[in-house]
Amino acid sequence: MATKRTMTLNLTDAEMNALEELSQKKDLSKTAVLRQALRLFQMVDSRIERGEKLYFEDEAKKEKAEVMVL
Amino acid sequence: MSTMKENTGPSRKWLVRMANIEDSCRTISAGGMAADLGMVAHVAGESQKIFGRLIEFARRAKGLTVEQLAERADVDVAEIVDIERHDDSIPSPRTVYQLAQALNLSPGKLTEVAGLSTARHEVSAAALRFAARSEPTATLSQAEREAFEEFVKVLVENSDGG
Amino acid sequence: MSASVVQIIRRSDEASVDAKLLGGIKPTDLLVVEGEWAPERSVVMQELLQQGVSRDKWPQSLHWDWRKKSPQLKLLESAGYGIVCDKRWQGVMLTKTASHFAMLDKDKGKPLVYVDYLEVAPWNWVIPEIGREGEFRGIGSLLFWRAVKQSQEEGFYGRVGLHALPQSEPFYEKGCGMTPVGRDASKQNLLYFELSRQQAERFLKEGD
Repeated sequence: MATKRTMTLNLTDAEMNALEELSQKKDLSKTAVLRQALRLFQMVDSRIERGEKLYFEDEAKKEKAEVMVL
Repeated sequence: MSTMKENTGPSRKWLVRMANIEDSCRTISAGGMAADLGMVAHVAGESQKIFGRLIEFARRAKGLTVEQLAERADVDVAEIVDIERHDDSIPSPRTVYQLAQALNLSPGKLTEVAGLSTARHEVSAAALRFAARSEPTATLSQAEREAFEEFVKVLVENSDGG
Repeated sequence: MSASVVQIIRRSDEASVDAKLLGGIKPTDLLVVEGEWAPERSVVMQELLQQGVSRDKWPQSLHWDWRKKSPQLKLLESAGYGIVCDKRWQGVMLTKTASHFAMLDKDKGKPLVYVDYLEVAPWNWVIPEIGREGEFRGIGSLLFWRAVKQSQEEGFYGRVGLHALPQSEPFYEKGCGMTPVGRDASKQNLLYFELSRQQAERFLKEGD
C-alpha cells in the first residue's frame, strides 16, 4: 500500500457522534468513513467541474432539487 | 519448478476451473466501456469513432476551421461538427464524397472508413493503427501528424483512382 | 504501486507460469497498455473481416481504448490493477470505491468495490472462428479475485458490483457466484451483478 502520513483531527461532540453513527450504520471503521467521505467529495467535485450537475430526486413527489458542491 | 516464487494468488485448481468458464464465455470484460460504446451491433457503430477522428485530423492538417471545411466541401457546419464529435452519427454518402474531395482523400476508401461499405482489411488495420496513435488534443503533434500521414498513405496506395 | 507474484496458465502446455499482479497502476501505465494492445486489436479485426465473422461473434471489447480511461485514475476513489507476464500487460482492471453502493438487501446502501472496466489482452482472446485460442488463461478470473480482495482491504467485506457484457454473464453468475440484480437502462441494459459478503466469503474460500 502507499506510504501513509498521520493527521490529528479535532472534532466536536456532534461531529464525533455523526462519525460514530455512520461507522455503525455502514459497518465501517471511522477511518474508512472519513476516507469514503474524501473520495466522494473529490469525485463529486471533479464531475461538477466537468459541467455535470448533482441532483436529488424525490420519486414520490416527482421533484428534483439541485445540489452544488464547491 | 524450483524457480517458482511463492504464489500469493489463488490455487491452480481454482484457476483452472475458472479459466475453463472464462474460455466458454470467450471474454469476461466488465462493462463501463461497452456501455460507453453502445451494445447495439450497429454496423457502422465502431467505425464512427475512427471516421470522426480522421476527418478532424485531416481538417486540422490542412489548417481549416470547421466553417472553412464546410464551405469548401459544400456541407453543413452542423453535420461536420456532428461527425467529429459524436460517435453515433452516420454520414450520408454524399457528405463522405464531398469531404473526400475537400480533403484530398480517396472517396472510396473514406466511404469504407465511414462504415458505409465493407472495409478492406488493409484500410481497417491502418485505420486502427492511426486511431491508436492519435491523441484528443488541440494541436496536431508531430507523432499525430506522422500517424495521420501514414494512414493517408494507405488510403492513397489503395486508391481506386476515384 | 504494489506487486505480488501470482500464477497464470500458459495454454500451450497448461503450465503454471509466474506473473506479477500490480496494484496502484498509474495513468501513464494505461497509455503503455493501449500501446501494446492496439496493434493486436487491429490484427484481430483484420482476421475477423477476412473470415467474414458476423458482428455478434466479435469480442465485445474490441474497440476499447485504455488511454481514454487514464485521467480517471487520478481520483482517489479509482484503483487500477494489472497482470504482467512475459514483459507484457496481460490484463487490466479499474475499480471504484465511492460511486456505487450495495443494492442487495442485507447490506443495502453499504459501500462496495465496483468493477468499472476489466479487459484481457487481445492475444489472450478466445475466438474459435478465426482459430484464436489465446496465449494465457485465467487472467480475468485473477483480476476479479483481486477486486474481491480489494473490497476486503477497504473494509467492505468482499462486496463487489459490476455490469457484465452479455458474453460474460455466465462467468459472473455461475463462476463467481454473483447475484444478477437487474438490467440497467442507464448502462445500455447491461445486467448488474452483485457479490454479497457471504458470497464473497465462499468465493475466496474456494480459491484457497
